[in-house]
Amino acid sequence: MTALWSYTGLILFPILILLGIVMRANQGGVINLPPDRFYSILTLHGLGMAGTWFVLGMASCNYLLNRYASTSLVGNILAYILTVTGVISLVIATLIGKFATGWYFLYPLPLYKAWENWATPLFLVSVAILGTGWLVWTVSMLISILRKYPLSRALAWHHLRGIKEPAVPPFIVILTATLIGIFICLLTGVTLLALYFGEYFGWMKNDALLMKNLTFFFGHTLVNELLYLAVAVLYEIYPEHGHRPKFKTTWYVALSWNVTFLVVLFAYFHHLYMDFVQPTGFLFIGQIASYVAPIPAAVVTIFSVLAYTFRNSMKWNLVSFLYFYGVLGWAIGGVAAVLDATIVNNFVLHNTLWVPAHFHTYNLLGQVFFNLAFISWFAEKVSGAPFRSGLSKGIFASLLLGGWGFVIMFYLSGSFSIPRRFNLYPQELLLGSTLAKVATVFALLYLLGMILFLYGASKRCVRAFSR
Amino acid sequence: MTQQVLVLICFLIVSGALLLIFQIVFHSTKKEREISPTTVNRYRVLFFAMLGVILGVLLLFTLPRSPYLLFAHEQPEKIIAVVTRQFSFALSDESPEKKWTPTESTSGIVLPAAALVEFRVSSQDVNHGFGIYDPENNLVAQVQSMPGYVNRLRVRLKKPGIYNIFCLEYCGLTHFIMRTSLEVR
Ligand code: HEM
Ligand SMILES: [Cu+2]
Repeated sequence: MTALWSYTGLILFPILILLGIVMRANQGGVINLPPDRFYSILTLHGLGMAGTWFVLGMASCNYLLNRYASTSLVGNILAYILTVTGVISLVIATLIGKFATGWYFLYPLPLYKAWENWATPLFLVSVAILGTGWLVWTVSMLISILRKYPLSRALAWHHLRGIKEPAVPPFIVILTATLIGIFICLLTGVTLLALYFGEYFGWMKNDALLMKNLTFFFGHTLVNELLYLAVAVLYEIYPEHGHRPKFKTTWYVALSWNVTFLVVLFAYFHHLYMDFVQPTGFLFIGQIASYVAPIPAAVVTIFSVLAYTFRNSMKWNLVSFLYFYGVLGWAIGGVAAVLDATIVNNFVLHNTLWVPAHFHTYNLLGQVFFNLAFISWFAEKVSGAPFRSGLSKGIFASLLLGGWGFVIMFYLSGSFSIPRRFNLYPQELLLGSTLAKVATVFALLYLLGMILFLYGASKRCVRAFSR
Repeated sequence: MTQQVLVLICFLIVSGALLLIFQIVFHSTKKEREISPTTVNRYRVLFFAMLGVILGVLLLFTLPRSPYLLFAHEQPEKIIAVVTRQFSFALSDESPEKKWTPTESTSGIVLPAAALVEFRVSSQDVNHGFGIYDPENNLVAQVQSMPGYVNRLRVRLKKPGIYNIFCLEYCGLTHFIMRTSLEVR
């Protein structure tokens, strides 16, 4: 199953990158798309990327969870079938039905149809299918964990009371906390969809502010948790590349993940900073939560990786490189996020390209690196053939250079007030167009690295199967 | 220098420091040495304290400057009602009930420089944005325009000249051409 998920993800990813490049090329004036095409591509790219990396994170956690508890194959297969069905209908709704609301389909835009009549219900149904599949998977993995460890032990609460036994691996602690978070936000997603259908069938009218809160609680939390899935895997695999003992759960690891898990639920308020009617107290909580959430991550995960690596005779290969520099990308993206989560700054950065800048940094150069590290580790393991050093260097250099060049153009655009989600830039903001052109070139480099990676990884998987 | 560029500079400095640290750690792996866990934990506590203090100070410093509290106790000299709908703005000097006059390229509104203005922004259909760009095309203030709610944005526009207003929340297929402008004299 893990191989199947990886393959599916690795094939979807370059296609989604290509959609991204098409958008950037259009913004740079290299090609000329009609707006309905552009915005349906935007919608598919955003949702597709979030979905792809969510399921890859889940698949890798599922694989490693087998080291500690037996997982349910049925849950995994069901999730796969529902995900594929959901993705196909999503593609139909966006590319054929021209459904184009952006990834967070902010209420009431989906009901103001500027596209095929059937596209809105099909879109909502496909989100429901995906949500159901993921809910099943989340619950099945939680059950596997809880069969082995009681909840308080899985969350390492005994460490908070100063009791060190029995030991639980940090992987379990992080995964449990993350899965519970995912469970909560998927339930919110279900509520959101139910309200949509209620209005769609004419039974009720919704409140725009409530819907916006639900949307971002669901969307923001889910994309944060998908990052933590990849981090959980890091705790398992990165220490296999050095000569020191594996990461252990201590009181501060336990505390940090329990705090993160709670605090991240309140950080989503930063998406509503510019809705002045939202109670100001919530908005302040948003900034406080956005400041508190990264502290445990930085002090525990980033610091631990650095401390683990320092003066350790590391085995540097594609896997450890991707992990190490992925942590750097995650950290830098975090800095940009904290800056934007400061209300005074958000006042002039909200919905500029600074926003895609920060989340592309910790996705493209953080979370994706972690997941690629897992896939290459997995491919090397099943095939017994490590990535050749020349190929590894080629892959790594083009991902790093292409990725950083691409996001720097977003940061520059954001600092010069270029709005996000503009198909073409107005006369006054033509700088955005120039930066988009440069970004297109860097993005092509990243795509090249990805294709090399796909080649290397699939060759190894094929060899493993034919053996 | 605009606030955005300042943020960019802050960002580049911190990122540069992070890059440096990662490079140092990376190169340190050539020479192996054991490090005692107590040393690591001492640095961890130090790092935690530093980060906590920096973020704490930032928080105390920035929260009171949030736009919701700005000029809260003053009386605005001008009140401008802003109504949005796909894909235009209507600005009027008196009340929101006035007749709908879409304003394509300019709203005809003229404001005295540095006067305290309150924009009362609302929407007739989907969510839109109300982003004010100064004569040098820097975003200086914004607020969302949400159906069923009125967002009040108070600002002082200091530089005289033409201020463009762009929609900053994706609102449909021709979102990117939704704009108007006003003049500050
Ligand atoms: C080289 C690879 C990539 C390229 C070229 C690319 C390009 C783009 C572009 C041009 C946009 C539109 C920016 C705008 O608002 O004007 C965008 C938006 C977005 N991207 Fe990417 N991207 C890439 C990778 C990723 C990855 C890895 C993720 C997530 C895991 C991601 C998630 C998103 C999301 C969520 C949006 C927002 C969509 C929306 O506004 O509705 N992208 N991307
Ligand atoms: Cu708009």
